Amino acid sequence: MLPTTMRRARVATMIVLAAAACGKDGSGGGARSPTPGADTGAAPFTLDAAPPAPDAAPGPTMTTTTFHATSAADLQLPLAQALASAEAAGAAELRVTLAAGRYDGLTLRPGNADGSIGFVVEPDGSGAVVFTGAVAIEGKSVALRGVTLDGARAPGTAMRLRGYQRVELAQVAVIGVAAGDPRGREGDPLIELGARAKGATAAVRDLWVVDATVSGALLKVPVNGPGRFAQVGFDNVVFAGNRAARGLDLAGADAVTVTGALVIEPRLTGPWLMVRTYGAITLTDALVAVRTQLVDYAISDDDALTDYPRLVVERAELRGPTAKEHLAATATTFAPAPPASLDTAAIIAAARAGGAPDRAALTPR
Amino acid sequence: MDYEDSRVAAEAFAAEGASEQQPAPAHDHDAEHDADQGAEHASPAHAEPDREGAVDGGQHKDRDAKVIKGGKHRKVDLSLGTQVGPDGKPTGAPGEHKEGKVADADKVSIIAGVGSELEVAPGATPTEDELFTRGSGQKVSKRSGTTATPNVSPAMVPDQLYIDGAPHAEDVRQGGLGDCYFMSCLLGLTQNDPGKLTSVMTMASGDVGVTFQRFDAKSGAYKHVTIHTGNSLLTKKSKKGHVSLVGARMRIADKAKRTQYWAEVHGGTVEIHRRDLYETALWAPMMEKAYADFTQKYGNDGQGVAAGDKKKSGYAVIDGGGSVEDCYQMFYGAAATANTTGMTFTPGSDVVAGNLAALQDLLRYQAQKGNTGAGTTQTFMHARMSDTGAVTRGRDLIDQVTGILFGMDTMDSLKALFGETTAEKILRMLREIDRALLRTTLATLRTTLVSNLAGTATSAQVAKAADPVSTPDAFPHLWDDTMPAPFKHLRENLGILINLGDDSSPGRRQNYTSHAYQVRDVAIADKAGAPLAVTAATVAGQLANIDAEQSKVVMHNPHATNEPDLRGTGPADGKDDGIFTYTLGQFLRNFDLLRFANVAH
Repeated sequence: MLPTTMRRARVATMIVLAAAACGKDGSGGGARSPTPGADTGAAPFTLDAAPPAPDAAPGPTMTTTTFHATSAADLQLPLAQALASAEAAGAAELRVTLAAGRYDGLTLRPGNADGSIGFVVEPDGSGAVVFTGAVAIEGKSVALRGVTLDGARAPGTAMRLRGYQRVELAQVAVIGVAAGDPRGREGDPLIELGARAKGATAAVRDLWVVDATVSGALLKVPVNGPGRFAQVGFDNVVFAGNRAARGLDLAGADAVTVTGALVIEPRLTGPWLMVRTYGAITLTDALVAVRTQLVDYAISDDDALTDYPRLVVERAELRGPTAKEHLAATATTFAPAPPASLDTAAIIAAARAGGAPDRAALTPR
Repeated sequence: MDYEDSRVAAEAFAAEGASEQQPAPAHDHDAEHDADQGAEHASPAHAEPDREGAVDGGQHKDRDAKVIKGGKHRKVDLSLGTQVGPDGKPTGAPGEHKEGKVADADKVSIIAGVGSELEVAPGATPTEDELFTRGSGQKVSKRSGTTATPNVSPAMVPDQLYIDGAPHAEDVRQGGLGDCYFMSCLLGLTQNDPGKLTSVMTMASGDVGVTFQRFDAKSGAYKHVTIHTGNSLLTKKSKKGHVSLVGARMRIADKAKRTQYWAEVHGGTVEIHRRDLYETALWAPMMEKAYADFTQKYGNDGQGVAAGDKKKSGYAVIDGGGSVEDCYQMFYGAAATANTTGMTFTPGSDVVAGNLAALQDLLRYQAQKGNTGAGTTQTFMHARMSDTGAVTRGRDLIDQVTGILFGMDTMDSLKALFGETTAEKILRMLREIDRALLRTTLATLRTTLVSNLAGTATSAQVAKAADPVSTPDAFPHLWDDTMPAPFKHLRENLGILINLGDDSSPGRRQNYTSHAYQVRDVAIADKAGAPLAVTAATVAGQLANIDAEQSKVVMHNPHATNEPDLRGTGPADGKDDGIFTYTLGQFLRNFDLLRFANVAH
């Protein structure tokens, strides 16, 4: 039986226990488009776990609890109570589906802080889901799909995803967001991807970051605690017209691949890539146009630039004052001219529409 | 500016631009410049090996962080520190005292002289015979001092980092560098794990060693590195020639730890001297100095220096601000995990229910802050308010207050909301003041706040527009606690807004923006004020029982002064030490971000 307050919130909340096979990464779905499998009916709360799917790989059963939110208030107490119930029931994953609408923000962390439960947050398919505040999710595996932060004001980092095994950020648009204290120098990033254990992986695809204001990096992969990503992949990402100190700040990862990036950043005050890891970084099929340098390396008293592996650039178009001496570039063109002033309206419109970015259509000429 | 007045200085620094990135005060233009780093102090170049098996070969010479404009490293002495009175205010360093000369013709033989001083218990007075004998020896005609009234010269106990053997929270006294985030981290450590501080600091032969951890990108692991500071601190000289510390202040113990007497003969005068040796909290400014040097070498979070910062002084970098939660990694390495949680306040809404995640973090902190044993997790907690948060909340509060004052022009509508007594009082007070002036002043402020959010009005303009509204009793609705809550909430918010931006501080404040306060204690209570046994795991089910005004959060400002003081008459607890108590409601209204670190021991 749910606590009284939970029952009151049942008007807008539905919880179903389902089953899935361990090992599935839960990717797919998301998008600012209907999410397959989202149950929007008002089902009674049940602790009966469905049998594993027929095609499930052998292994222990993974129970998934689904929480359906239809209002910002649902993401406060009702969600906290659903999480507590899911943990008490030993669920391996809490799936939060969101009805179309605007939400203040979301904080989702395991109550017992041992990383034993994962989270999937995605729309229920009924329409656009927009956050106007910060989103922070930490769990065994974390996936945030198909949502928009539009005009959000976050006192710290606007979006923080931390996982012990896997972090997924897919088909997400961050538009006109001010994070941290834009006038301050505390250096909070706009987006943070964090590994809570060694060997975790992160996958970012179809991400739009447009017209943000932040005093730190646009997206940071920090060194923070014992965790470290084995691999971070960016696929089809757009960074345009942001005001920030840096673009990607990469520290806590052994390997980073960036594929299909469109970067038009005339307002950055520092490099687009701030490298603090000796891991391999590959930039492929990218267009990067910046006024500052493409890449900078954090140098300590005990090392030097030449200690870092060269940034591998393949099939890219780099515009701006790019230093070529520490790049291993193939099939790449360099243009010294800085980017013209950017009209972000078209890019913002495309970001709101969602889907994979069309680089050719979005590139100002 | 005379930096000897730490209250004035700290106030000015905070107002000049806030202290999570508080800029340093403007340096006197005629201040002594010295590009010769550390010229006045020895460079012992100790070769202390890194601790705990570090393999980065980090045996660093005392190279010191480069000085910043107007600064100079000078050898530490007691005159650079200050004692602190019972009211929490600095009283300066103990002064020298010189006795006059009186006729006293005799021959004297020195028993306890320079180099063979007589050590007595503090407060004890030796006899003259213990210092010198009469009747033979050097001929003198005069005497200066007696054993009861000697010439007094205070000094530091040598090679002593702490007062009473350990670091204390009152030792942390931020100075003119904008490194409140680091100072706030030191507050957290002094309260909850002082042993960590003593374990990373050594002092021998005047040289201080501080072992930090930095992230080594090459190996992907944290490594220990020991910074040697020598025996000097960054100082500056005022126009009047007064030398003071640029950065963190140095607290001097209330009483001398040791007392030495001696006698000596100069020019026919036998002089009787007493040297009072004081312990000082030298550890705090030395820690800051070591941090500046560390920053210059490894970045202010120990994760490398960006190429653009390579030529900067470490002092300049730490002066630029940072995030307090990241500092713990320099002390605990990979065992520390940094985090933040936002706090929201929408006027008219339930501020407790709207901040469940923050409440859980605060309760986790309260439960775990003292955990230092192996296998436990310890939490350190801090809070800050952003400029943007303060301005946004101010705008919303003005809307609410304006709505009450001017949007409900009938007694009935006010009565329906607030009851007859309050409604009558609101209207009566409205009749007694200049309604038009209040309306215009609030409208002007609101316009400035909106412009500020749009980037077309500066923080200084916000402060200027907020000042006339915040003047005590200028608009009595704001100062009458029987008024509806939004009036009090706006009063508090104005106490933040008037200190935004530059050095326009009127000496009144609620709390500062962009400043890293430390959270000391959290006590959750119900409506009757009775403690509620609530934990992070159970708080969701107890929200309705929590009273925002009965629950308390004890805070510490790293300035070691500048507590909330809306009237400018001094802190509510009568002790100006930077420690103050907010209700949970005040805390959630006046801060918008928790910054914390969890350490797995």
